[in-house]
Amino acid sequence: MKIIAVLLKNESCDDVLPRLAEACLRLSPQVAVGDRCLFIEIGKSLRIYSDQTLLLRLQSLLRRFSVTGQIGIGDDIPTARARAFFQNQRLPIEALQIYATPFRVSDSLSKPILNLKRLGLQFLDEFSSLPMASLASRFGKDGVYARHYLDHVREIAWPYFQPKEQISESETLNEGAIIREFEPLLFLLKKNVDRALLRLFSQGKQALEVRVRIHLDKYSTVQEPLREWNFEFAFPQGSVIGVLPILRERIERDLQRKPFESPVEKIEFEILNGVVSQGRQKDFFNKKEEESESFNAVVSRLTEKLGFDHVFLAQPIESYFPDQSWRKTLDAHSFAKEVEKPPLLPRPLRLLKKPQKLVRIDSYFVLRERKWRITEIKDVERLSGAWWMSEVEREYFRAEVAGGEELWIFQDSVTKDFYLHGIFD
Amino acid sequence: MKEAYSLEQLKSLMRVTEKESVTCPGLEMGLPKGAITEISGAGKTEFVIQFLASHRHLRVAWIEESLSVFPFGFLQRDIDLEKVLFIEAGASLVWSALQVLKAQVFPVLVLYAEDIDLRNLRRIQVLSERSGAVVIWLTPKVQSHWPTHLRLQTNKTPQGVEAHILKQRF
Repeated sequence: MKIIAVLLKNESCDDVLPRLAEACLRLSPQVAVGDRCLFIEIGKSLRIYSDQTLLLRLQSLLRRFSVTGQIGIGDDIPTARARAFFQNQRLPIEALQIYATPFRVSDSLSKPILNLKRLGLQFLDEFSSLPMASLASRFGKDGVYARHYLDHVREIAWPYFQPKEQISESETLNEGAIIREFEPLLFLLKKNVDRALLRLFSQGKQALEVRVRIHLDKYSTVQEPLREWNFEFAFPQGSVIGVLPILRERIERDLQRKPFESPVEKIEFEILNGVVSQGRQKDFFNKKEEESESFNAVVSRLTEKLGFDHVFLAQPIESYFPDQSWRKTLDAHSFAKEVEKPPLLPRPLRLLKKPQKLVRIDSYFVLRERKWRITEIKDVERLSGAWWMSEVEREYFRAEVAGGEELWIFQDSVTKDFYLHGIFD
Repeated sequence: MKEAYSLEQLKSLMRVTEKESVTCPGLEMGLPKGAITEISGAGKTEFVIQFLASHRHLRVAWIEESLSVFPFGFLQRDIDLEKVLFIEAGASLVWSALQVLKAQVFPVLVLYAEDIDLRNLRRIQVLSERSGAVVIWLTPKVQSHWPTHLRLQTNKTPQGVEAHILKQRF
């Protein structure tokens, strides 16, 4: 067993600690939280990360959560915590207290420690030389526990750690800060998004739906003290680079229309829906994963602004009728690997959304101000619709016109009217 | 006194910065990467489709203000529809093009627009250079904006679509 202990320096770290612990789940599944201290069992993770890499990752996490801390490594929980606290391999006798109560801060052994120092015991390893039978009467139960943990006679039970179900990160602005624009808020939002996505990633998930809330100072004149934006992504997002431009785009647009009525009090980022994503290791020899992530990010950005109906892949469907021969999708996996091309005459590359009625005058077709002189007609075919839907029967043909254009025209078999349906552009 | 360069020497020096190109059927010089190619005339879409069919593995973003392309026609001409992202951008055509280029995951970008103002065209050109993408601008009429690297006009013949070079920048 090998343990890393992270002792936070900040006094008000109770709120950060569980969130940081959640983010640390990416390093090891065994994590515990104590008073101002976080423990990570890294014995098995060392097959994936080296000591050095783990420490670098931890330091990066601390920076991203805006906290500072001291790190210690040991074979058990009290040793790791004591090394984090004293930053020394040989521990002083004061570390006895940490061995007695490894998860909480206490001073139950402060007097005995003082006495031991008076007796000339300077280091913790010297405590082991005291006879076991005398410990209970001299130091009480804490002294006995400390000796047991020191000699590894008793195992320490890890307290249960359960990450919060809802992932939310927020930042309250200082009272002196008067911010009414979005640009400075973006820095705070970026931090919150990063933290929330880190926590989500440690659960093996990516964000599909998120919410940004901005609380404004509640002046009596303010009509809407809480501004809220919900975002649904086309593809799950796992990085700030993907998420932030989407948030920025919409919020900035909205704020141009309706600016903040009073200074910002608090900013909040919440993950409403996360989906399980496959654990991905970076492939140094293949950029496919990175490309796929960038593709997902850009599609999410486009759908956010243009709508899901306006950004799509076209999936072919078996149908003779041109309007029903494909459907919109964003799921490339739903495509059949080998699409069998139906034995049809060539279709045009441009199709009108609604066929336009043509007027025929001799060898001319007229559509409003435009007039085409037909030079040749070819590729005639008859398409009839399913009788159970609406009985349609059309005779399509390809019309070459003077000037080089080619039109796709049909004649309705019932009304005998001509319609322009496509262009061989 | 410094020796003056001959015209040939200058041309050869200019060729040092010549753009990389992607092969294109019916166009010996190919289509330039990291630059805008403007195509107009009858059969322009057919010409682009032939180009895309000869590079089926490339990911394509196809942007139009109001989409009029017929994907089934693409399929008939051997285009891998999984590789083509269609974007009906409305008034956000330029914004969409810039997003696509910034993402750097689309080696080919096809735009269909009657006109794009010079400032926006210049922004597209700068980003296309950065991403190294082949940007094809399909337009009903021949334009005369300077950021275009290659200007082609197509016309239909019994043998197929022919492309004529109207302008080519070194």
